[in-house]
Amino acid sequence: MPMNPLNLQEVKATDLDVFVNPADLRQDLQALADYVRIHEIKRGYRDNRIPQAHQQRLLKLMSDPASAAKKDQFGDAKWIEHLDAVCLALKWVGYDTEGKYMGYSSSEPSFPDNFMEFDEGQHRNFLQLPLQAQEERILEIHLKAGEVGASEFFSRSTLGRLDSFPSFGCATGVVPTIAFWKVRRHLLELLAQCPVGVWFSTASLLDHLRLHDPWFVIPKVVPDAVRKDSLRQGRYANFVERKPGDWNHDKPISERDPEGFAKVEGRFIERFLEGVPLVLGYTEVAYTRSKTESPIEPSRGLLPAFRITERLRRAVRQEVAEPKVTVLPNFEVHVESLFFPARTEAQLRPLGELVQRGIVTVFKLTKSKVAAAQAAQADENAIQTLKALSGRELPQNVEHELRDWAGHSEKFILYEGFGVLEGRREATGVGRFVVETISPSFALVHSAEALYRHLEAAEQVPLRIRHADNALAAPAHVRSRIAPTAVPPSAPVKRPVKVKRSLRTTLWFADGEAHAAFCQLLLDAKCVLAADRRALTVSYPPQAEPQVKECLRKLKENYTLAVEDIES
Amino acid sequence: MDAAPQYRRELLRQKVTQIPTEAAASSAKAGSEEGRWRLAEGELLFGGQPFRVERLDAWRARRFEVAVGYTNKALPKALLPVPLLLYALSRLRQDEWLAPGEVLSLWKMVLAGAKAPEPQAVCEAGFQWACLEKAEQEGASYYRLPQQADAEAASPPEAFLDVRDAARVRICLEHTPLSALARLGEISRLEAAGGELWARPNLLRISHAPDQALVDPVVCWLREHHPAFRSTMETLKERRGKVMLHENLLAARVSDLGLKVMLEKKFGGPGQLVALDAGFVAFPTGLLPELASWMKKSGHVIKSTHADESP
Repeated sequence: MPMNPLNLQEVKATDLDVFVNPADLRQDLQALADYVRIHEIKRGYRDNRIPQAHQQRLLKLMSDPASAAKKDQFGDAKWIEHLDAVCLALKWVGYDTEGKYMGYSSSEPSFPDNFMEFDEGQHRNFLQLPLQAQEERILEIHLKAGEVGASEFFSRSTLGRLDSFPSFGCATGVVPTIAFWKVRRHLLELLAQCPVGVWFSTASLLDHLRLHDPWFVIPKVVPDAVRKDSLRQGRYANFVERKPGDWNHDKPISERDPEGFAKVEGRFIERFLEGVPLVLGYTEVAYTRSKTESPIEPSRGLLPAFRITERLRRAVRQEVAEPKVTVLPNFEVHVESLFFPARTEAQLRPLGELVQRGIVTVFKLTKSKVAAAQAAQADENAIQTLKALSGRELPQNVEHELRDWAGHSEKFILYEGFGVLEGRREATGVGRFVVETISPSFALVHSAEALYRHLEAAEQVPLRIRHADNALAAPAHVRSRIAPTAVPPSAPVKRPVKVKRSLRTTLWFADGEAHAAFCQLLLDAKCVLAADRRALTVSYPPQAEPQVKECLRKLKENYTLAVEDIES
Repeated sequence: MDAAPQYRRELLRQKVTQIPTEAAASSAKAGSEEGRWRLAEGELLFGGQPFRVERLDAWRARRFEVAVGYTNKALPKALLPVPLLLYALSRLRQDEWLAPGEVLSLWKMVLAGAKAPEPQAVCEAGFQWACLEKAEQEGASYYRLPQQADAEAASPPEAFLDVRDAARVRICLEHTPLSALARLGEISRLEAAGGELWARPNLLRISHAPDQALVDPVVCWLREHHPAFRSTMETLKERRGKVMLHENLLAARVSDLGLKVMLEKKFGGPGQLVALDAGFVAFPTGLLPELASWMKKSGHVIKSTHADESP
């Protein structure tokens, strides 16, 4: 259907509160995809949302972390949730959206062990699409999301500020018959006629629609089925205005109300402008700065101006250009694109560091990244990739250096999961296990288990050495060049024990009187020794031997004494 | 105790001498293999498992329990009559014997109310299955744990090994110590022929045998007196340690000499990174994270080749 020329009133937004979406949805979608690819995300058991811990990490990866971190009145990060929903619609991620009722008393489903799965194939297929096709897919998902109760009439948009009509009863009446996605596309096509970057009055847009396209949302003729079967009959029967807090009032806007178009379609236009086009960066909007509460809910006239961006014009006219890539002699790669060049970025990110992001994104090629990319994927060729992206020959110095860097990846080739065969390979059939011949005595081999059985069958008496994770070691008595022989456990060291020895002599008396006399002689000689009156003994150390002998000599004066050694 | 101890040594010997006939009859796996001999690819199996003296002892103990025939799920296994009796007997000193009546107090304490067999019957069953020694004096029986289960334990190799055949050795099962039979099973391929058991040297089995098997007196005697065993062991000695297969390690080819020198300097050491020939190095798997981190810091990259990717 040919459109009437759009002639909107230009306004100045100087007294208005201008809002521009600072985030780039396309870039953030890729960030979320990359995050889900490498993280195992278990969604919330009750709310089926991405858990807070992951949300916090995700926020740091967003194109504008500050705006993405803003939460709505329920405490939800709506930007992350929006990205999550779009990723699901694009089928890059998959998870249970139905849930299950855990018991008879459950009023809503639960989501046990609901892990997000990343579909590499779907994501790769998306990246392979031309930029225009990528944009169309994202746009289509946005246009088709939000029917009936989730439409602009009854639901707040991701970035919007305006309130909505009460949704009670919206499943019946005229609303379910509206194809909202067609309405949105139609409006986008209309807006695409506007000059870029000029502020226009929302009221003039509404006037234009009233004059030239009054049935753009609700059809001129409401279907008979709605008129007959629905409790909510009439054109505006789904839309209720009320004073704040007046919950008893549920009288819908009258069909005959001269301001009916402004009240219903006008509100729709305001909410549309802060909905899909704002999220996609197609529009910028300006709100009134009035802080006073609107006398009627939902509010009206709070979004008096808007302007469109170059993105909308190109997306609708299908003029989204492929990114222009230029490789400079200073190893910078400039990527010029109005839309986020997801595929180009995915190709350039492994080769260099991001220096600047914007309409012109700049990468700086680095030796370590080019070599790492080459090492990770043998078929990766940085020179070919850059030539294909830029569509021309690379500066000579860049090509020369890239070739040199690529060779850098071959300097250390790690062999994982292989065995090393040490010794002469005399048995036949060993060759089929050899991956790399190191020397006549060493070879890298695969299928070590099978090789061991083969050598055993060939009666080579192979020695199988399974090394510990932290050190190479061969068993005792095995001489290997790879591993030092384990030192056999030495005999336990004997604990030194110091024992002191003293010798004492004991005189055993048979006569108590003689014992007492001897003790008296010792006391007289001022020689104090251990005497036991019961056992009739006197013990003394070798040092006291002369004094004891002297006392014994004195004892002989009164007794006939004979000393007999017991041991002998 | 003046009476001579009695012990049913013949029970084990009878069991062992059944090997040639039983093994020849059943080379295939039977349904229930408990207490059965079988030869599988030259390996002597008892109860389906490679023969060890302990397995024969376990079988004997199991038969003892079966003969007593008492089960009570309410009681722990250690408190059943057989383990209880064996515990009581284990507390005896050298030259002490136990009269069955002496365990009655223990019996009443643990097995009170249960229809447990009489201690006398349990002791007699133990004697019958060669798990206990018995002595009879003045009409009463006394029991203790056996002092020496294998009567032939001290037999010299020449008493039970016939080395006249140059290729194999005949094992005289009537006189072979059980430990020697187990050792022969470890180092040779056994075969039953003509009602006899024969041992043939086997390089693989000898190479798999533990180190102490090669210094066992029976094995040493065989090396000295039997040419086939001698030549097999010499071959083993000659080949052992000549071919080694190292597993659970990482190898890398370092084509940059400077990098290789730096790696050796940084990560070399006993049991750590070791240089092989032609620019290759080997190192333990646990060293990789540290090595990768160092490589990254020094501006190098690691190109990986995985075994599952190789042809």
